[in-house]
Amino acid sequence: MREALLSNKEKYLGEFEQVLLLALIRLGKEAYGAKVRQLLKETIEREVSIGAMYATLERLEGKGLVLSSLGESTPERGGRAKRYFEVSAKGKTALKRTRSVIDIMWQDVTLMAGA
Amino acid sequence: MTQYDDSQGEPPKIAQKLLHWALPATIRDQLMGDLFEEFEQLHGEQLDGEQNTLTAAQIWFWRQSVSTVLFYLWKEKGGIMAFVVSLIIFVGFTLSAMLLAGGMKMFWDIPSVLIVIPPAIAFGIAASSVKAYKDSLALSFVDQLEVDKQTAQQACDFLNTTSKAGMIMGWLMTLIGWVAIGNNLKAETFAVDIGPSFAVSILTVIYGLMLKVLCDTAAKKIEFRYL
Repeated sequence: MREALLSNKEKYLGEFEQVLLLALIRLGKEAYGAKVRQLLKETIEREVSIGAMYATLERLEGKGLVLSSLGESTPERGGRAKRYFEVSAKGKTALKRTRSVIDIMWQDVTLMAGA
Repeated sequence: MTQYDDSQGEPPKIAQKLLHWALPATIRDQLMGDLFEEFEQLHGEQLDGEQNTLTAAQIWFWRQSVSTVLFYLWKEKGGIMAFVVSLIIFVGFTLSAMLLAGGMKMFWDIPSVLIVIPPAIAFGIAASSVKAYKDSLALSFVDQLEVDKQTAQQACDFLNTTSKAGMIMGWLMTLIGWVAIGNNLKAETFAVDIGPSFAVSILTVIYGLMLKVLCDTAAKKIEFRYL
């Protein structure tokens, strides 16, 4: 039972992980920390801590769901390089799998107004 | 993006130092670069709107810095934090016990401190080296130092010797004190003298024990992390 739970935990993505992966896909080649944070703020009005965001992205990278590469540095960044993220093929598969599970669970479910 | 020169303001330096200290080297530059970029954008927007200049951008930077530092503190500095918290708890409980017992004054005797702690440290250095003494301090309060096992072992040896020497010095000085008390007590003043004399004589053991707790904790931390 415990093994089944662990494998499920690895297989499906958490809500914040899904949100981040979708943000990376939406931003495409412009997906780096500041842009991802701004996108989340503008589209879903979610103000996230950049530390929490980086920790999650590093975890996803560790699982092979995200790839990262260093980019150019600019004066407004104090001469520091950008770190660009992109969703790997494995990450896209994990996203699709998680969505299909959620879609299945939503079938035949109707929430009453105010419920 | 609105262009303006750096003299108009930059993120709070203390927050920058905190971030630099707490963040792992693998993401430090990129994460701080993102914060700088957003800070400049926020600051620029405020200039466009002719609102208050820096304050809101700096508050935003502080909020992000604190939440990020707290997030990474236990993850990256867990060893130091555990050691510091244990020190705070140890000092807190010790001081509370002393205060409840009737005040700090009765537990404070400078000559007793001087005959226990400096000699114990000197014995520790004599048994290892001055470098081992410095390394033991660095390894106790800084995580993820690049040191070889021999350096860590020597730091442990210094702490272990200091711990034992502190206890030995404490008991030795107490016994010397008892001999002196025994020789100098007089029947007519016995009731007045015995209490204060005995209390002062036993203080050296207390100081030796305190040194032992600190040294043993630091030695175990170094052993766990580096050996």
